[in-house]
Amino acid sequence: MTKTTEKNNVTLTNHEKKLTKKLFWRNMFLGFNMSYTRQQGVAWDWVHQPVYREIYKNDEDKYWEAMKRNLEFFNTTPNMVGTVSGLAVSMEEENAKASEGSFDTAGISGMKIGLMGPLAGIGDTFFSGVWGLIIMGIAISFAKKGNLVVAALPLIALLPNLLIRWYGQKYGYKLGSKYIQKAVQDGIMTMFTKASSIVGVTVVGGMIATLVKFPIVYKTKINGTVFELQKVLDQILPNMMPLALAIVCFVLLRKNVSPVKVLLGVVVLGFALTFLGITGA
Amino acid sequence: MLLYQAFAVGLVMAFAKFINAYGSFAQLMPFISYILLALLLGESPTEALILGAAVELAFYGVMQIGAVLPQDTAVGGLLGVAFALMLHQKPAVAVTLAVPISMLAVVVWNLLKFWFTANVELFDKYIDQRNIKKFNRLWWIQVGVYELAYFSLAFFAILLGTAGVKAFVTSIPPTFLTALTVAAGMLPAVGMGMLLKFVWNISFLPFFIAGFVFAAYLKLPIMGVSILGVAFGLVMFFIDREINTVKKNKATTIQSSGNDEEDFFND
Repeated sequence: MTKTTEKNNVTLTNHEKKLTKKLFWRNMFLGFNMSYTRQQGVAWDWVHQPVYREIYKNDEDKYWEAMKRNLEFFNTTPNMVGTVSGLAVSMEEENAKASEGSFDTAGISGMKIGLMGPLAGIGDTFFSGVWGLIIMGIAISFAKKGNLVVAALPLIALLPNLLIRWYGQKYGYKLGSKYIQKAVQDGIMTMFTKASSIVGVTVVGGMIATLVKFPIVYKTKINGTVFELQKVLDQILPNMMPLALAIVCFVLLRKNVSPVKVLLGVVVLGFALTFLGITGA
Repeated sequence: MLLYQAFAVGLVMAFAKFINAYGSFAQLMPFISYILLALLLGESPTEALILGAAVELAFYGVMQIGAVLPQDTAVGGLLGVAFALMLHQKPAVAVTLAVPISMLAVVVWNLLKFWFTANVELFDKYIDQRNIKKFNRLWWIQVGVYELAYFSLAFFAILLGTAGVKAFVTSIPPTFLTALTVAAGMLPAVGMGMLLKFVWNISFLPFFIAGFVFAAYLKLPIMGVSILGVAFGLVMFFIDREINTVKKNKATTIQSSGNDEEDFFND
């Protein structure tokens, strides 16, 4: 890490430190006031407004032009905004320094639009699909026993969120668009998303066996011997019914059956089987 | 007393919805809200956690992916736990209340978002007028209304709903409660299905099978399965990187020799 730091000179000056800190805290608000038409566009403008003010302090027209321009559609996983934000600010600074007409501001919009998709791909996969899943799994297992350790868990859970926000912003700001776009083109982002998905799929496989409950209590006597359905199923494949249920849900959702219908279907199934005496607690 | 309770739940709700948006923190800390709720209501935090665990299990895997919010788990979870906590009910009751409430509460968010969308035009106008004060003011008004909407939702739900919920809960027959417990146990399957749909690719099937076998046969805890998952992810990452470099080397030999920039990125 120190090697790259020297190589690319990413140490911040005092003024830049103040600016990145401000941006870091204001970026926490990106999830507020989302609209159907611009998603986080208005939030982006509110977040960056004092920074633009600072950058264009000598040029009123360029400041309002930047405000107008950045009110455009923007949507990414809020945790991932740091990289785009840092990059955009460094590009706005270039625009401020450039003489009239020598900097094409379409490049800023292009960068934002080009990066928000891949970043959301990674962000949603990692934060919702992998990290959130693991953390919530652990948190639930603590909370089930009423263990108050859960209260301390966010300290660990929020770490990746904060680190990606801070370092994404810092490196986006200092290294510039070339480096980040290179990473997208090289497929490092896709590779990382794929690796995260694999972690997610493995964990989901495990979670189905541990968290989904399908308790069968059905018993009958055949020729004098007790026949317990659950035991027979366990011999074939442990946790077979939870697995089957999850796969059915997955297949239905993939066929674009609405989640609400699938949810209601599962509730109805639970009720029906319990009233028939097949499942029970 | 009820007035205070309604106020307390409203406050926790406003807090929960705030960190829901602020830095996306809530994704990982719904239990903080449950502990806070118990403390403000003067109930046992341990009990709140046990109720919360049952609710979060039913919501497991239901996460806000992109801009789509299938269920408002924050509202459903908090109100479900609050009612069960105040009426000293079983976790199954908390789940029974939480799931339908979470589905209905999405309407509130949709209405708010609709209003925010109508206001975009105003934000546009303020920029054109070069009026940053009005721009900021509308921004904070929106945040305020958002907070107030969820505070009032919880406040009135507790104030006006507790009697009805109590009557409903005490009239639940035991078989019905058993059925509810069974259904609540099955619900995580829906969340699992949603997550699978989101990340699925047929080439991931081996990893899915491996994860299932680790838990079902080897009885590994979640943490163990996760670590093995990370190992799988790393293996595939390194394989992909290898393939990528081979591909790139091929491409560069076909083209004329690479430039300096290429070398810079290939260390």
